[in-house]
Amino acid sequence: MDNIRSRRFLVILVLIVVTSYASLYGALTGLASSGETDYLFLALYTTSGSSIPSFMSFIALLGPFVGIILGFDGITGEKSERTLYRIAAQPIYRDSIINGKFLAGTALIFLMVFTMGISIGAVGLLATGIPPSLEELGRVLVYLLFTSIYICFWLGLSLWFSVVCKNAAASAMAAIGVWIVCALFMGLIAGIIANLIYPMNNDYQALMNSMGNYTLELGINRISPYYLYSEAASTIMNPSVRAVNVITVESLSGAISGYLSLGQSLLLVWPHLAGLAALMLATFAGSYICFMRQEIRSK
Amino acid sequence: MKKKLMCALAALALTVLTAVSPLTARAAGGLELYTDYPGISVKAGDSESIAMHVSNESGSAVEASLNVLSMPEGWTGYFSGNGSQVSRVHVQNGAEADLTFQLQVPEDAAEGSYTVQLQTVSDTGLTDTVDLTFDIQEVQYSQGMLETEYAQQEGASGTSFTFNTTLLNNSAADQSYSLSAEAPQGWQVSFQPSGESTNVASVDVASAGSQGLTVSVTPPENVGAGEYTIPVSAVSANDSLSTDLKITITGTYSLVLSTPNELLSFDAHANRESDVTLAVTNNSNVDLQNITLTSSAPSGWNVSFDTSSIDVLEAGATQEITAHVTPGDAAMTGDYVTTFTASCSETSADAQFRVSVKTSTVWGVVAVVIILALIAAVAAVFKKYGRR
Repeated sequence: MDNIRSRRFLVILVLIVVTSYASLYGALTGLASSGETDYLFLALYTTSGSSIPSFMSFIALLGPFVGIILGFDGITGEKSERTLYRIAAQPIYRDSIINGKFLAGTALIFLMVFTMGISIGAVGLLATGIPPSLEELGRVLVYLLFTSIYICFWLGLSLWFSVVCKNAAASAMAAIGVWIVCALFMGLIAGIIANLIYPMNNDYQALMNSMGNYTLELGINRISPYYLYSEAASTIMNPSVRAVNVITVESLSGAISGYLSLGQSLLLVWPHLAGLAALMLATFAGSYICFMRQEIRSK
Repeated sequence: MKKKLMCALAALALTVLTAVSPLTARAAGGLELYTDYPGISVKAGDSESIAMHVSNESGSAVEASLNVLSMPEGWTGYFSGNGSQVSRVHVQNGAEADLTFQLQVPEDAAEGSYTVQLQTVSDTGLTDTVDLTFDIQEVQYSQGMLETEYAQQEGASGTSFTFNTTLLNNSAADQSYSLSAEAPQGWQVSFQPSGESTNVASVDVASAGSQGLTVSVTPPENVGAGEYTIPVSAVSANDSLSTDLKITITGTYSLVLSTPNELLSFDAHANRESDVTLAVTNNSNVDLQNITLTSSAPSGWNVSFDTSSIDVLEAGATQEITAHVTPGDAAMTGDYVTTFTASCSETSADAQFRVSVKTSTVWGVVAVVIILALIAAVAAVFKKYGRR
């Protein structure tokens, strides 16, 4: 309740809503010219307009913000307002405080993501008049689940920082720093490391090392939850994606274009789902452990 | 030939006439009934118009009646002049009247020589008689003919053959021929008059006439290669004509490769063997030998057959063969094309299969297990640090 009424959450909510509908508008104009016929409903989420990115890329970029804003002053805020020791003095278990913080944020994130996703689908349905198939519906729901877990990871991370850091500003800066590194610089770092280990400076090296280079770069990129999430989301939302790893010429021989079923797409990205869930649980566990070991006293 | 005969007859008739006429003239006393050719060869059923003349040398114009004195049984005849039947004639002195004697020879007139006696009697008592002799000879009978333009034809099975046949009636009478063919079992033979599309079972051919016939022969679908003879006969009351149509069916070679349920797709897993049953069908009209099975799969895939060659596959027979397909390590999830080919020296057939490579669900279970393990780990953390 605190979260929903808080001004900064409303601001970020408005931002998300506006960008989502802008992306839907972009998708609708983009769809009209693309002439795509299969999986039109999914295309509402994945198509970008002439200058507006798609709903999927907006969420991948702005979703972490929601998580960070909900979590960054979870504990530091209580500390700075000197309410934490009062809460701790209440006859409740101490872990209820951190659990409550995390669960409240998680519930809000799930609510927001599913509401947004479904409303985008509903408005898109109104605009296009094409009902989704069961498969498309399943893909959208799985995608929204992935998104929620992804944002919950950021909530857990920022909550962790809020436990560790002394004040809210430091916690916010740390969380945003991680987010920027993951979203923007991970690709650069991965490229640099891959080129160091598997140099591709001349033709011979390119011939020998390209496979290792690409695989390593991909592996490092996948450390970033942003990359992990984007890969999983695009595989789920695009049935024609058949592989998430490096595709060799050997794999392509005899391959014909076709769509995967939802189950097969899910099997492709199961490591991503497991990885994201692991990251989310690990950050929460980290913040939990740190919080439980912290000393709380009034100043 | 006919002309010569006529000339000869005419010459004969003239000599007879010149030998006889003075006598009759004398006997008639100036009135004479005569014809140029008193001996005529006719056919049974013929209608003859014989030109007759009555000449008058009696010194004055006479009127004479015309009579048929005698006529063979069944024959009919009358005099006509100027388009109508006449019984009397008027002849000026020194002039001549032209008449026609219309004679109908009955259909059933037998072979032989017949005499028709005609007489004219004038009012003044002058009389003259003339004998017309008719010879009916045995009908000039000769065997008709049934000829085919290209009696030997060749084609693959499934071809329809068309023979252009001519039926000749060389006899003197119109004949109705019934047409038939002795085709092997399953063959269809039909007769059509040339230029028409109606199938006929019999055809009328006029005397000394001919009738073009189109004989259409359709072999059965599964006819074997080889040579076939189809005797075609046209039978009438007098004639029994026949000709042989020879058809050589050449071998057609056709193999079909499919599956027993015609489904050309199957699922497979990377690095795991999947079996697919192929059905090789010999649709040709000859047995096929040494059919080998090959495959064209994506690189890295392994395809083997439980029997990679068929020694003999009889015409129309189907043999099932199991192919073992193992997608390679590098196979992505999704659809691939694998082509199987059955080939022998004469022909070949191929079938393209859509192979859906699936990721094993084992890994999905692994993911669930990992997530459960994570939750268990968090629960352990709760237990260790919680409830303080």
